[in-house]
Amino acid sequence: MRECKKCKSNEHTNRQLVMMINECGHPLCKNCVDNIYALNSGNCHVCNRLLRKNGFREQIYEDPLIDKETHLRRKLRRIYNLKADDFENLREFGDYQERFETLVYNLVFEDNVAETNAEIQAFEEKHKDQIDRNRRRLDEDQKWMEDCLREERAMKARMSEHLEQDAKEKEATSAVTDTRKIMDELRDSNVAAEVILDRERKKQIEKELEEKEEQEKRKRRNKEMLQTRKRNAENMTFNHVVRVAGRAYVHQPPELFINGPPMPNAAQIESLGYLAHIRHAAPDCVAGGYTSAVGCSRALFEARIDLFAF
Amino acid sequence: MSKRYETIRHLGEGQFANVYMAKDLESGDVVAIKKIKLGSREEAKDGINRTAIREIKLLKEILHDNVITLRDVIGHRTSIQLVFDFMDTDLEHVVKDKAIILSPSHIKNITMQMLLGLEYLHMHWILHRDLKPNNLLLNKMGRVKLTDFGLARFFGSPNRNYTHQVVTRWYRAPELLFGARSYGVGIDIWSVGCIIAELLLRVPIFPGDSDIDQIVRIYNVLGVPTTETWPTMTTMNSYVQIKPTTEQPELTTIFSACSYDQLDLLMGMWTYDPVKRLTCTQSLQMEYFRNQPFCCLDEELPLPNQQPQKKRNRRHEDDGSHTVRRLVFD
Amino acid sequence: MIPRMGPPTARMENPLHVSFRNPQWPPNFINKENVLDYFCNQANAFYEMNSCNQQIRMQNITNRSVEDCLRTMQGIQYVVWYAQPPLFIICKQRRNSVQNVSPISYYYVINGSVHQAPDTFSLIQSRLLGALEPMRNAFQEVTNYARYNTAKGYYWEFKGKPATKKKDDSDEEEEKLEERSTNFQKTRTLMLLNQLFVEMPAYTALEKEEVDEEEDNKSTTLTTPAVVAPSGAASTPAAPAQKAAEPKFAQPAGRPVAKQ
Repeated sequence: MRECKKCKSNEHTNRQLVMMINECGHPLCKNCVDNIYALNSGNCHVCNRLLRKNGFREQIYEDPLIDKETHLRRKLRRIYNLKADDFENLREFGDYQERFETLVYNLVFEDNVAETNAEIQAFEEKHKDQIDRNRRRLDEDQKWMEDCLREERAMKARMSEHLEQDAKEKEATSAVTDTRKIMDELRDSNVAAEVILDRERKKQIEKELEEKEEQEKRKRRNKEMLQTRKRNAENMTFNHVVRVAGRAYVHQPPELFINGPPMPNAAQIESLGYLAHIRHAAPDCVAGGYTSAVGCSRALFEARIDLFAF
Repeated sequence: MSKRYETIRHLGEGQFANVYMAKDLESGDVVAIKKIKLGSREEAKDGINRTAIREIKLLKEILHDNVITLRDVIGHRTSIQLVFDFMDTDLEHVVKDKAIILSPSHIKNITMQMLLGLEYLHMHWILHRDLKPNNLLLNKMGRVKLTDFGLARFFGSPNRNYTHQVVTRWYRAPELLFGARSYGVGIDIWSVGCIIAELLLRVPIFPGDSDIDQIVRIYNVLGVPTTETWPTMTTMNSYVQIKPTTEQPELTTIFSACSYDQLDLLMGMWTYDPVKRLTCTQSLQMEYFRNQPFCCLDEELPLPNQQPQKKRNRRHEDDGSHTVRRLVFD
Repeated sequence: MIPRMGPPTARMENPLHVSFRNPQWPPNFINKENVLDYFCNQANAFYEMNSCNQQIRMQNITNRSVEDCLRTMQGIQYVVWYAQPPLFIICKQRRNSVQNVSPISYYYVINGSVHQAPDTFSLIQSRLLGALEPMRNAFQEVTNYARYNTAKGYYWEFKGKPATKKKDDSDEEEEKLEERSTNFQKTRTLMLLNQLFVEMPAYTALEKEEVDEEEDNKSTTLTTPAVVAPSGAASTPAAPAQKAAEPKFAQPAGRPVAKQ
């Protein structure tokens, strides 16, 4: 929130508050400037220095000190504009830069102003031609940029010229035969001229319409083709590694929970002699798939099931 | 209907029962209710329908992922209603839908599920005796379940004589066609073989019109059994010697796109001698299930009349025995 | 991936040398639609029976087009890549997803016979071999005919056949005596001698014995220079002898220099 020290108006009270600052670095609002410096010169309200009205510029930075410094830097840089290749070695360039900083500091904080100004003057006179050259050198950069831009513009103009010429030629060639025919017709036939011209104009309009339609159709067709191609496109991958889905199924016969003593399996039934006590199956039963082992197993199963429940 | 279930719509009708789709109000699941038909007064006097009895007696004791679960039995005066899980479709529809292409991994998965369910049944001494694609239900998660235990029974008892008029003719084993009164798990395995062939060819492989025609068709494909391959063949009740009408072709011409291990499994299941035929456990231990292409996930099974398949998420892992094959290294 | 069939690269025969032909089909009947049917034959060594194409045929899918079905299936499949009768190209590809395929190899059908399209490596290799092998043989053959002779230098001898040798022997013997020195020999010896004379000028010679011998045998002045010349540069004929010798060198020596 900026506030003018003089009139105590701030951005609340005055929406259009514009702060101005002069070379002494003490900000003042625009209204106060106009009032106080109506006679184009006056004393600063803080440091009492003599100031001019047109020395006031708009304050950009919140901190008036910064504003003052940037202003001073800009001014001094116009003088201290030597580049690195103006010096023999990096050390000297560094010294020069440091000197510049010291000068700026002195001027900002009003320390030895007169000495500093004298030094600046001396420097300016001493390196006058160098300064001038550097001023112009940057101009050369800009000149080059402007050259480039100019060339680009010229090229664009040339291209458009060519295109226009081509278009004109096309028209000319297509129109030539037509116009000749039309002229012949106008000359020879008995029909009124307006009729002929009307007809020609109608024909031209129809042609234009047709062309437009064709263009649209073509566009639509292209769009459709693109879409179908995208949809149906199969992309190919060569040497694609086949990842096999699923896993081999290794079957584990399920356990039958009998809740009784364990059942003998098929081999044990034979070996342990259970079959000796079973009526041997008739051959037609065996033909059907019923063996005595089946009956034996069933009987054993029925006997053992849930024996442990007791 | 009881207050627990709310009927949604009628699904279909069978010889003995009507099936309705309903909602279980307690759990919120969709269920299928099979209402056993009463028939005439006299039949009703005889007691509860035999098929219903069989189903209830057997299914109440069985709990397996690949066998239909009997959730509830509703007895109301003289009517009986069986409540099952709801299944969206069955294998017959899958086979008949020409828009579906069954890849080898799909077929392997269906075969495995069938055999796992059947193994469980055989281990508990139950024969299904009516295996056909119509009786293999499929839900939208791709789980295959054996159903229709109307003809099922315990086996293994030496004294009982069983009827040989079981199993739909096209899926009937040759020993049944020859009138055997004692049989075992082989008849179910033969049916499984026929079902696998139907999955491969998309048409039933032995569609016989009569018993004799059925035998002829089997001979035409698999050749005539000899006394070396089936020693006890001639001792059977209604054994007749039949000559095949056409020459036995190479199996690879019929099943041209099958791998050799798949053909090995089929031939093992179609062994003439039931004693030498593969059992469920032996089939599951065959090389076919260990080889590539590995069987697909249940969710990947194609279902009829489907829109582009979205990822069907499995809401819960409900089994322990299948986790082995669920891992996908992708 | 089926272990029994073995890895595809270890086939018994080089697939580039194999070709398939179905005699039942007259080649004129092959067009874009049925070229795939022509190719998908069990007898075709290039065709794999567990490919997607065969699965579709086994399941008798007729309602959808084959390409449509193949797009959704994964695995090895065969598609018609290019058709301009009588040339058709069939691509064997592995489909990894609906959008992604991996081509494996290409087969072309010309006039009813199917061949596998070779890869660039084999093609370039065979062409290079075809170009270089005859050249190498030619060079080997030619090196057998190269000869070097100190008289003639390098030369070619193509007619060195034993059949004609006898005739040449008699001729050669006679010719040997009368053989004049070749141009090469002439110029070479002259040059060498001149060089020697430059290095060791005659008038500084010291050996007098040979000079005396020469004077004794004045009757044979004609021959002596010729004898002196071969005997080495150390000889220092007298000035008149030198003078006589020099022009003598310019003339072809009567005695065959082959004696050297």
